[in-house]
Amino acid sequence: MAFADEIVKDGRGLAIRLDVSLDNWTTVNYRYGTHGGKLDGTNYYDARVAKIGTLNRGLGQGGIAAAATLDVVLDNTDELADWLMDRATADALKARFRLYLVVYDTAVPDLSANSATKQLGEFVAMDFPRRDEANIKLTLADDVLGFLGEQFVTPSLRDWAADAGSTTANCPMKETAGNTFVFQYSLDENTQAPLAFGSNPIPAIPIGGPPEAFSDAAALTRGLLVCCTTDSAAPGANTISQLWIESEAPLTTTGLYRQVFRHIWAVPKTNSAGSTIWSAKKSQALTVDGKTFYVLYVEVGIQLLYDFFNFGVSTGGTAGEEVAPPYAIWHDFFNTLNFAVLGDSYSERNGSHHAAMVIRDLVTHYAKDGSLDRLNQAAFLTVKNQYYAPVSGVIWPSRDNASMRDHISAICASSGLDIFGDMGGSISCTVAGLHDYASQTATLLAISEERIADVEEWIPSQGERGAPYNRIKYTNAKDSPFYPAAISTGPFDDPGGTVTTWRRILVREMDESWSDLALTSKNPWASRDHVEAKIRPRLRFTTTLEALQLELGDYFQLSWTRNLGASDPYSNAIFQLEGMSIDLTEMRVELEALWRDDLRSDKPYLLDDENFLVRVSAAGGRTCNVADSSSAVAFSSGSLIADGVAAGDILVLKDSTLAADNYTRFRALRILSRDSASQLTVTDGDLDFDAPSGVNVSDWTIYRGHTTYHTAASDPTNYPDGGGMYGRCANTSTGTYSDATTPHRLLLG
Amino acid sequence: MAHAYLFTNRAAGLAATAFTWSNGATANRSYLNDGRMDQQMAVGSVASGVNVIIDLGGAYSITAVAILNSNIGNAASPTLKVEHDDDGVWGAGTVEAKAASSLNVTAPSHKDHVLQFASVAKRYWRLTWTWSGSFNMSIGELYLGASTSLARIKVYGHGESEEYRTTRLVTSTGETRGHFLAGPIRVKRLPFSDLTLAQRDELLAMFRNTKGGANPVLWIESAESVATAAAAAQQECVWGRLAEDEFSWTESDFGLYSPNELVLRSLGRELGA
Repeated sequence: MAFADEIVKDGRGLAIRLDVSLDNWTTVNYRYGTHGGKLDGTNYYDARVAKIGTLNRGLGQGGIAAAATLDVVLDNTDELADWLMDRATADALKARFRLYLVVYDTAVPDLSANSATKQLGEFVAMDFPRRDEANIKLTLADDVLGFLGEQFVTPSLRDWAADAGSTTANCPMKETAGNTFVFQYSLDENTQAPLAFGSNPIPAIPIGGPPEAFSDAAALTRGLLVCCTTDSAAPGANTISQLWIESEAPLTTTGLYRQVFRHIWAVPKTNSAGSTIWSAKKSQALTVDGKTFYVLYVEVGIQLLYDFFNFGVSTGGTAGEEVAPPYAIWHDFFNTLNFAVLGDSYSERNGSHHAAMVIRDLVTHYAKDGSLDRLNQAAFLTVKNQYYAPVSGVIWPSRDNASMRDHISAICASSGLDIFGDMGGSISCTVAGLHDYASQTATLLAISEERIADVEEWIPSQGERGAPYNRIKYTNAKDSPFYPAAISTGPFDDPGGTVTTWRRILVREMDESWSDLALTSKNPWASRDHVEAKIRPRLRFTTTLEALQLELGDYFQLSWTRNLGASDPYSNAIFQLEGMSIDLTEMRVELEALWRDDLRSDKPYLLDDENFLVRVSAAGGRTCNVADSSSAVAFSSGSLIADGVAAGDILVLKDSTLAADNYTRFRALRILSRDSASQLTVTDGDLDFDAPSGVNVSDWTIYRGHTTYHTAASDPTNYPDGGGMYGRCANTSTGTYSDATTPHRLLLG
Repeated sequence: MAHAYLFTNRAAGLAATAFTWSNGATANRSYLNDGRMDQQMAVGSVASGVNVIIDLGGAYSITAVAILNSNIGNAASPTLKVEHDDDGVWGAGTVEAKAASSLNVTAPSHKDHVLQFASVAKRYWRLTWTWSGSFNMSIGELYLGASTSLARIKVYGHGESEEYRTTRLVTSTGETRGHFLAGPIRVKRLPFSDLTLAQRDELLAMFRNTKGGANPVLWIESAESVATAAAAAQQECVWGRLAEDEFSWTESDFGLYSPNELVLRSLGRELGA
């Protein structure tokens, strides 16, 4: 029995079951239900759930959903639920709860064969339970996002130095001879290494060195802290691609005075002699809080750096000749500089700085209890593939005083993502107005008007989720190290003119704390995905449990005609689900959804690259001849058969001998039939080619038409599997239109 | 005819090993005396019949054996016989307390059956079921105890109801959708009138023993104490709780008392029941 099939049937039996585990689901320690019996088809459940409240789930305004809560009253008249109150075992803290709705055929109440189950969430006790003479009262909180309340823990500089032991190769804070732990300036030794994502330049901070052992060879290198990562791979060529320095004073090069813009200079990795000035390095493995980290840093040769600028100031020679200065000068020079780096991966683990992938990295690779199992991976990949949202930013665990939840919320706010705990107990991801293959092609759940009650409609007000806007202002826009500070915060007005036509200015503040600088520097109306000046009504209504087939972010169709007629106001219109309240006592669901009926008519993407559709084009003097009133087109040479031309293809003519506004031979003609190797017939009803006796056209192309698109994987010019029409969205890294590889397809086919 | 009730199950608290099934069934034996009807022990598919031997751990006076929330009503021609023994060596010393009785298969009395006999204190008891063909019997609770009879029976106005627990959503257009939660739940209304002081105190004793609605009571509709086979009427019983936590009475005539109507609500059964 499938849940979707059963829940729509009238008169089905319902039960709630609550599985309880004290060891994170290695064991199910308690099985409680609203009914006794084998609610999971195998195990007997204790009819102990006396009351159960309403489960409220919804997408959050800040991008990360508030944890759903649920009140449960357990019967404790037999004292068998007292374990929840045991102060010695603290089982209430350990306990995790999974809530299920069981639907079954009342005619055959054998649940092993005639039931279907829907998980409604995974929870922990939000607070300690309360007990009275007969009951235990629990308030459960969504456990899916609960662990995000913790802070990230990464290795500190002290962890790094202490772990280095006598090995100095991967720790610039160690002297060769001894193990003196020396911090010259900039950072406290307890500073935890930051996490960094994206493509923005990020600060590289000197992490101290041996200020006195000037004669020590190791003293000729200094370290710059970049970030840490859980990726053990050695730094690649572009892990850190550029090292920038900024100086208070103008820098010079040999024999020349050169003042760099804002005194910024990109230092090459090697000097003209091939010696390495700086290189990206990783520390040894550092295990902190159960995770293995590697600190990514830049090792700079301070003498070579000094030499690179060749100050022309000598201690004993003439100007233009370098004489090795004392070590102290090299150090002092180094100490006057500010550093930043540009890289391509930093702490990333998925090779992408799309917001969804950065969140995925944080949850799976950097959160203490994180793992890939906690994620609805398909949802994250769908958002990544179909929604352009690069982010960039740095997390300083010991400085930010912020939880994972705060950071992820900021990423969501900057990128427009919605993170929520799905009913299956996973962290899931969606986007308002997501266009993916399923949304464009799937048969959506249709909720009939006969199954709804208590309808309320409104247009979201300012500050409310989904509120319309026609002006955007950036907030929290950041300057990156050395990046020009002149980032405009707007306002940017809708180029569609709604500022005028609406006669009102509705401002949307767009958080930029995690935005990629490449985006922040642009007009959001042109550069951002899903930016629109459009009024989208919001609907709230009550319906039956069949709505449990929907997950937050899902699309569905709804008619609400108020019995006035099929056209008023909504007839089978598409809405996107943004909130649901599941009343587990009355067994009804209240849905809140935003109007999205333009989902399939207002496509935001270029869907095709017509170069994939070219059958053949003019080459080698091959011409085609068209004549007025004749639908036959003759070709001077070549074989249309060999070219694969078929009925349904499109012949596009161009003739530069005509004026640009003359369309008699600047036109596309649908091919009715391929008559021979050198002739075809077109279907156009207008056969006026401005050529009573025929004319040879030397610039032409034959494209596949919509009926002759690639249908076989074996077709060498085909898109990958499936056939039909494929669209691509922007490359999620570069923002440019890209190829037909899987990650870039809009319609996955 | 007289009513009787029990509030102490001698089988309660026994270890699972106290129940020995003739077919060797052991799974979920603890459900036989867990104080609940909703969890059932399934004996397994057996041809013709099966028996269970119960070791009470000591000799206790027993006048009634109830088989509660069983599916025996679905079997073909089911019967039940009760025997007891002093030493558990079934043979010469074995006595038939209740002859094989054809069990009532008519709803709503087809799930709960009680067999009553003259009081006897024994340690070992054997219940033997027979049926035609093969059948997988499941039982929610086994109840063995000494019943207390009431001198007066209920008066006219008594009755019974069956209740279903459902949810229903009425939509804007008048469409209704319903879901089944539980039922039917048996509810007996038991009015008594013009009781003597002693008769009133019998009822009050029952009320006190059951702590109002706190402890369940096994209500026997028609008490008897014979070894011959029980008729359907004498098998009728309901294991439930009194709905009211208060027992009050008024003196309706000199020396005659009329208590409030007692409402007995059956305990819950397994999902789908």
